[in-house]
This record gives sequence, C-alpha cells and structure tokens, in this order.
Amino acid sequence: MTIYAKTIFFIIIFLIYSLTYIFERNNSTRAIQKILITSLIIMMIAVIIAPSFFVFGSANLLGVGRGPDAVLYLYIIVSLAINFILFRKIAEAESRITKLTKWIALNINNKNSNDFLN
Amino acid sequence: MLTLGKKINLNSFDQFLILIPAYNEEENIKKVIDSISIFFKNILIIDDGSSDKTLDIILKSKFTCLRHPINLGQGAALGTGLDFFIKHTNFKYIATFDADGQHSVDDLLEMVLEIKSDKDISCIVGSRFLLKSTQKNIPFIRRYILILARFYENIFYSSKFTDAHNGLRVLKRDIVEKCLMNIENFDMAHATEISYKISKSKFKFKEYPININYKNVNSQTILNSINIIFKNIFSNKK
Repeated sequence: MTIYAKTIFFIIIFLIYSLTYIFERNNSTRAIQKILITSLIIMMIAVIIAPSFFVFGSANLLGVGRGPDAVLYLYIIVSLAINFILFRKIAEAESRITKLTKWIALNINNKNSNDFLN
Repeated sequence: MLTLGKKINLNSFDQFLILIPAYNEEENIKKVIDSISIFFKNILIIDDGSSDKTLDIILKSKFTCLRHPINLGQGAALGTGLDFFIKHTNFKYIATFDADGQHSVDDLLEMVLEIKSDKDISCIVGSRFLLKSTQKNIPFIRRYILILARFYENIFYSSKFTDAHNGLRVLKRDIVEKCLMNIENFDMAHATEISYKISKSKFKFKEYPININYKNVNSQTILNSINIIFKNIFSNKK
C-alpha cells in the first residue's frame, strides 16, 4: 500500500467519523449516509458481476497491489462506519428514553410531589 | 436545636431541598432518610428503577418520591431532581446526598451552614482530599485512582476540584438554572460533567472537607472508573 493510498484510507475513516459524530444529525447528513450506503451496495453488486475489473482495478488505483487486500481495507472502512452510525443511533435512542423516563417520573410516577408547590 | 456544638434554627432549612438519588438501596435508604429528616423537612428521593424493596421503603416514608420506570443511572436521577427543583421556586438551595449511606449528615449540615453564611458562594462540593485525616480513610487503591482521575479531569476538563467524584454538593438556584440543567451523562460520568460545568462557570464555588464511610459494599466499584474514563473519551457530551 503506497503512502498516498494509506493517506486516502485514513482520510476516509476520518470523514466517516466526522459525518456520524461531529455534525449534528439532520436531513442532510442522513441523505449523505444514504448516498454512501447506496454507493456501497452498487459497488458490491458491481464487484460480484465483474470482480476482475472492479476489485483489481480499484486495487491498482489505490496502489494496494492485490484485490483481496483492497476488499479487506474496504471491509475495515465499512465496518467502522457501521459501528459509528450504530453507536450514534444508540446514544440518540438512550437520550430519548431518558427524556421520556424523566417526564414520567415528574408527571406520573410521583408521590407527594404537589406538597411543595407554592 | 443544638448540633455540631452550634445552636441551629431548623426553620432556616426550609429553603433547602435535599435530593437523594437511590437505586437498589433497600439496606441503607431508611437509615439515610431518617438521619436527614431530623434536620430537614424537604427531602426528595428519586427511585431510579430499583428492582429490590427500595421503592416500598421510600413510599412508607412521608417524603416526596419520583420514580423512574427503568434504571437510567445516577446522572439521570440527579437530572430529574434538578428539574423538580427548578419547577418548585420556593427552594433557594438544593443538596445532593448519596443513598448508600456513605455521606454524613454532619458534613451536610456544615456545608449548608457555610453556604448560608457566605453569600458570594453559589456551590459547595465535598472533598475527601482537603484534610489528611479524611484522606487516610480512603482505601489505598481507590485513593490513587481518585488522584489519577483528578489529574485527568484537571488536564482535559479544566476541573478545579480536588475530589473528582464526590456526590455531596450544596447548590444555589442560580448555578443550577444557568449551568446544571440538562445533565447529558446519565451514568456515573455525570460527576465529571458537573465538575466541568461548575469549573467553567463564572459562579464562585468552594470545597469543604468531608469524610466518607466506606463500610457499605453496594458502593461504586473501582473498576467503574475505567468505564467513566472510556465514556468521557468516546462521548462528545460535555
């Protein structure tokens, strides 16, 4: 793997991290995520249809040398992206559950809470 | 009433709300409530989804109880208590007190008297590291983990506290309203978040030497500090 390819590899990971973590999740970031996932699916189908062209072509382009190595690097990038996206989604779900639980505690599940009202 | 060698007018404590977050503390909660209720009549207990008899014991007491239907963590329980405090404007101060029986009511009283006498102070936090006598009571490994945690928080969170994770705090309404609403860390990492928010605020705060009773086996484990560090590193919440 050439130094350029390694740099591209780390930039991709950094970009995925940025997309899922640093930017607020809004419709635009969700759309970008969908574009990335769709591109990935198209790539996977393309690899199955014409492995020599896509796997070895992309391997040569990145300077990886061997097709299976390119697949390995792609797998690392994709699994990291999925991890980050899932981690973010779980954190968001936890936050929503906490808000709901606190609301229930303050408004329904309470005893004597009105005793303190002015 | 005469306590701590001082004559205290208990009516002056009406402005204080004592917040006790509790989770599976059936062995200690009654003792804690009874000891606080001698001096304070406004006690709020948050049952954080306990699966033992903690809720039944709390419900038998005359004090206010809010219940989380599921366990979320001490940070969330404190958050619920602070929301309640903000809604009820008749209280000027809120004190947080652990349900595991580690804190002493004498320390709480001292801190309450201190914040009442010093009008400039908005927050007093207990510390085990201000006196050698209280430091000696901390178990050996826990002491050094707490010192490491303090350095970590001083460097990465600009925390100015000597005790990284102390749950005994007395807070004025202004600091709660402006700095401590919306605690984002639900678990024990909330202590770091609170230290960080107080340290970066413009409000004056001080630490008060307190003693911790380590006889209780239900207290936080040392290994949980690893969880807290990882949570702080990999979470973007502050």
